[in-house]
Amino acid sequence: MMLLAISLPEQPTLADNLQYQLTGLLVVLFTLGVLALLVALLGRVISAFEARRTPAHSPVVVPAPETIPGPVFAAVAAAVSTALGDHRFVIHSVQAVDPRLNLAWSAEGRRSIYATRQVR
Amino acid sequence: MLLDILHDFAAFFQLTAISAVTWQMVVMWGVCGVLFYLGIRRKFEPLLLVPIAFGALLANLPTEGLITHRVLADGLVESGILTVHGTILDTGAFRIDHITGGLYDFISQGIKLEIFPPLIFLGVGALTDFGPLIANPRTLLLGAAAQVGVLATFLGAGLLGFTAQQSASIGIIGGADGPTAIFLTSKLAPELLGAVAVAAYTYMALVPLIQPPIMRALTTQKERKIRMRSLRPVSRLEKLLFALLVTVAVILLVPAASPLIGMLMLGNFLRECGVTDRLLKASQNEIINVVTILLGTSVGITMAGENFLRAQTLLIIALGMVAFAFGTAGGVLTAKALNLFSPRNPINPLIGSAGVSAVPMAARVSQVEGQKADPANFLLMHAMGPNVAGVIGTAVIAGYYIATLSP
Repeated sequence: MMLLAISLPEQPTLADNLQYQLTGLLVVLFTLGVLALLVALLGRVISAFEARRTPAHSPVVVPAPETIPGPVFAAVAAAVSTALGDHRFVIHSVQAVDPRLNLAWSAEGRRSIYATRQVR
Repeated sequence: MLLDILHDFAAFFQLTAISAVTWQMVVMWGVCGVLFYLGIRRKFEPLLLVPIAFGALLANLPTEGLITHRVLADGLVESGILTVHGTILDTGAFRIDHITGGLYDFISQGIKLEIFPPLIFLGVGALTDFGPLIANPRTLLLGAAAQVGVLATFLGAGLLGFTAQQSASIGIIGGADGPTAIFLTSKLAPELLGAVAVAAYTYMALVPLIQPPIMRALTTQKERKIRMRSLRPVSRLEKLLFALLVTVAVILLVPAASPLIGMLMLGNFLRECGVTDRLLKASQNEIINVVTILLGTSVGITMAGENFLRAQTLLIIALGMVAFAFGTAGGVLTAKALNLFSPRNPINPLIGSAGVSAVPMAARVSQVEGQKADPANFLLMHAMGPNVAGVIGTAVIAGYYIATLSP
């Protein structure tokens, strides 16, 4: 509501315009700065909360295959080849993702975004 | 008999629309050809440029039943006019009997009533992972700083004689966010809609050409080699709370940004909550695809030759370039400034340029430039932080302009 009090004259001078733009920059910096502080605070609260929920002496054991089975490796190579089309590539290593990180959502988001763009 | 046939043929010829073709239309066919070339051959944002170009072609043909044009006093053409037929009742109230108009008189109401851009934001939110931003909240400031391009271009446009409303619409091109540019322009300066949309989407596609020279000019080799700390994993709960937090905080601070931020965060909440799979898929695919077609063609259909073939169109395109350049510089310089306050956890200034939105193209430019300096450096996920922050920043500055400049 505070914003409604800001106005620009009908025939603004350069000084009027400059003042108006600097106010705009301040509004954006303030809004996103407040968000940054709140997000940082939220991160700390949630980290503390989750640390309290997880017992200190109960390590989660994640079985990780020592080697990637041949058919899985072939499937990964085929998927990379399909995604990159004619581009040349070399697969140096294939590793299982740690399921504790729960990256599936972000990985799917990235995949969706990049699927709309041409690989250059 | 031959004479009769020729006579009938001549009579038929009079029924065609060929005589209604004007020189502006013919020139605009050439402009459409260029847009088709950029979209199809050069793959410049084809999902938007192709519908825009086709809409522009339809606008510059003597169509019937498609759209209604009206020439205004200043020579500009207004499109998308609905005619309301009704009766004035004894009570003084007006009863609508029926509404007439061409197909795009109805469809383009989606822009006039500001429905399409927020719906695109719904899909953008459903496609966006805010994890990198949540893991490193400082990058929100880079998204804010990149709005310098919008503000500087406003000043430049004002000096060139554009009104404040037009200047805001031109400046927002620097936000590199098509839906926001269309949303703001349709509200403040609808007569510039076609030129602003074409400039915005063309420059977004040109980000890999525009940004690197500016990024290199403003950074040292040592700065470009900075390796940033790995981002921490972000839990689903944190992402859900982030969506709610941004919705509440931004709407409270800049209520005029509510339609954009509200829909952006609704889409993101559907994505992160994990229990609305069908709604998420609809937002990510069907809704955004359908609206993109309608939005693109509705923007294109405003590009009647009388509106587009003006000197100010060239000025808008030139100013759009200025906006992108200043936005890039603002982000890079702010990243360098932040490093003065946190030398132990430095930011690679190359990710600052991603604050101009253009998701994910600008982030990829940061990655590519970073790898030129240090091939083993991976900046992509770090750059996604300011990249998505730029979307929020552009919506906030648009809200500021709408709140202060709306008639």
